[in-house]
Amino acid sequence: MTATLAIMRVTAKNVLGMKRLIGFGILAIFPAGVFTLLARTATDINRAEGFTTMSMTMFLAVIVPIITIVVSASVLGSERRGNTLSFLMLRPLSRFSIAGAKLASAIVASFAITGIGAAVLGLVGSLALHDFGFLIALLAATLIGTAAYSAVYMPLGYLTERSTLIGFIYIFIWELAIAGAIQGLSGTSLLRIASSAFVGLAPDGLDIDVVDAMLGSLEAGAGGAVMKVAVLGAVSILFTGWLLRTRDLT
Amino acid sequence: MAQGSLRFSVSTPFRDVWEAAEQAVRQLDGRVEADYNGRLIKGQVSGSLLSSGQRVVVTVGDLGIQTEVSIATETVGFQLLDWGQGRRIREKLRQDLMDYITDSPPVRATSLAGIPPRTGDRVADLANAPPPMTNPAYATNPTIAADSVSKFFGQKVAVSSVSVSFGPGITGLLGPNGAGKTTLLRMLSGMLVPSEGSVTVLGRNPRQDHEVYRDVGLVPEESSIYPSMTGREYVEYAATLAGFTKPRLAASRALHEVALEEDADRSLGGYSKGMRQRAKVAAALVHEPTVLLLDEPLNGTDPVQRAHLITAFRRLADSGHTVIVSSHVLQEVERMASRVIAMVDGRLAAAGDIHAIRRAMSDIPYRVTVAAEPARALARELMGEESVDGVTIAGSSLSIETNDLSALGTAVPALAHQLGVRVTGFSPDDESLESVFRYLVVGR
Repeated sequence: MTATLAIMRVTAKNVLGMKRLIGFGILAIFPAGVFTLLARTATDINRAEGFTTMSMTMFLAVIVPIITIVVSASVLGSERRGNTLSFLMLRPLSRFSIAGAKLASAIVASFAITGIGAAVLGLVGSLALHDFGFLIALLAATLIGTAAYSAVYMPLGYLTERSTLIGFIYIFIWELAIAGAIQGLSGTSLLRIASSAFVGLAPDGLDIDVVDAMLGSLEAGAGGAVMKVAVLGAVSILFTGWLLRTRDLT
Repeated sequence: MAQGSLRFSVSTPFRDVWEAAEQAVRQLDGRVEADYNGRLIKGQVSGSLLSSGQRVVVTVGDLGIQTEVSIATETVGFQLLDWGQGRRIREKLRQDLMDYITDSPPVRATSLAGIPPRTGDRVADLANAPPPMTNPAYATNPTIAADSVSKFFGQKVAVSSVSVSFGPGITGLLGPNGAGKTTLLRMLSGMLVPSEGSVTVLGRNPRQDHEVYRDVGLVPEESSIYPSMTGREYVEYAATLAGFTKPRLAASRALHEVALEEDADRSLGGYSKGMRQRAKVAAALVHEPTVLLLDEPLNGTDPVQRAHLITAFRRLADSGHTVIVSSHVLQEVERMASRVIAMVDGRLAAAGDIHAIRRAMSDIPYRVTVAAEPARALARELMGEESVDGVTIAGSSLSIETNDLSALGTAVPALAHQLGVRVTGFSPDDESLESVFRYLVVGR
């Protein structure tokens, strides 16, 4: 096993404790449960609206960020608080490769939970709307959203113990309130990167009003979202590597 | 002060004296004169006086001659007789050195390469010259060095301008709690960035060159374990991160080294503190580093584990590894290290041979706590011992002031046996050690 894989394996094991897996697992499949109840008595139009709402305003906008922020922030933060940072850092590995391995761990560990939620919601949505394209779109958008939040909150978790609080303020005040109200700020929203990918990849049938409300001035499309996430990831690795090189490792 | 030459032979563990001696030697720079066939020539001293000691290179500019000159006549030495006198001697010695710097004439030497000396000249005898004066804070073959390093945490100065180097063998980093040992070790390992100064490990900056960690192992003071891992997984992880292709084999070897094989497959979370310490040591040893930094490595270990670890550290040192052991327990360091760096209040207080420092410190009474039942009978007999300065009884605990710790160590069991007293504890009081260290600094 290479050092990178070893770091990923150990990190995933550390950040995904049994309690966290169960708690976040239930949270992740909650939108699917709600949608299933709604879909039983709804018309096709209402099902489309319900699935779009559950996917975009609940799952991608709230559930994915909460899970990813908590998991990603603890990827380096727990090493720091658990005093294991010296164990990891005083090794013949470049700081940037450690940062890269940690970011990959954050994405994989977070997606292990958010991906389950996306799969279940996508599956019930696809069955209700008779198109499995919704499942693929939601899985892809969830991966993109998970990667975007991981890229931001992995270094933040190293810098401060209050990263989760900052993350929640970011979700509920910045993304959902301010960036949602001011169209010009849509580009600063990580949630909207994932949403644009979802809309871009999903088959016809999503509720237009919900889509417009979520995307604001952003164009729908997976390509742009992937590019943005790639840039965010690269910046995150460089920034984290720089932090690990220049700051005290305690 | 005899004109002709000066011979410094200062053997001291105390920083203030060696600094004064170094300053004296430094002042000789450019003041060496050579007599060449009746003609007085002023020579220039080149190279580092600090490292070359009495043997300095004199370049006689207008003749193009370069020669080595031994500067030697007067020996300045001292020995601490008792603490009070030792302190006076230190102060006098320092003053003498400073006076010499101010008053002495230029040093004369008459040995120039290939030129026979005249009758009556004092010829420097390089072959029999005394060994060069060395700063005891510096190792002969340094593998790891700190140059004027300081570390500030906000307004707090944790380490202040420490210059020190370490070479093969075990060096004890000694000092009371809060002396700056851990901060210095963390800077040496690259965990902390020095606020001032620089650190080199095997000639490289550990903050810039991660490859240096192929040759460095650290056992930090704090826990630094993953509780959900087993001991074996933990050490294997360290081996994998070090680039081993067969980490299991390397881990088994390291676990064997610290006698943890039997418990290796248990979770670290269930380990005792001593076992965790040994797991940390195994993880630090697994890649067979040249330099091993140990911060309070014996904390929480029982006497058997302690003896085992000390043997392991000694074995490494004997095979040429550089082992730096930080501890606030003098006796612990004494068992392992021959060379000691003592720190107090973030500064270097003393360095060198442990016995020299130990001798100096034994002049201050040690305070030892002995748990005995019945305590009073033992206290009464101890008062008759020459090594005992005073005894205070508190329940079944005796607080003993002694001027000779080893004599007391012999007397207590002998008297206990004779009186039928049961001794359940014998521990030198760290407060006493701390007060000695503080004295080292305050008494300067």
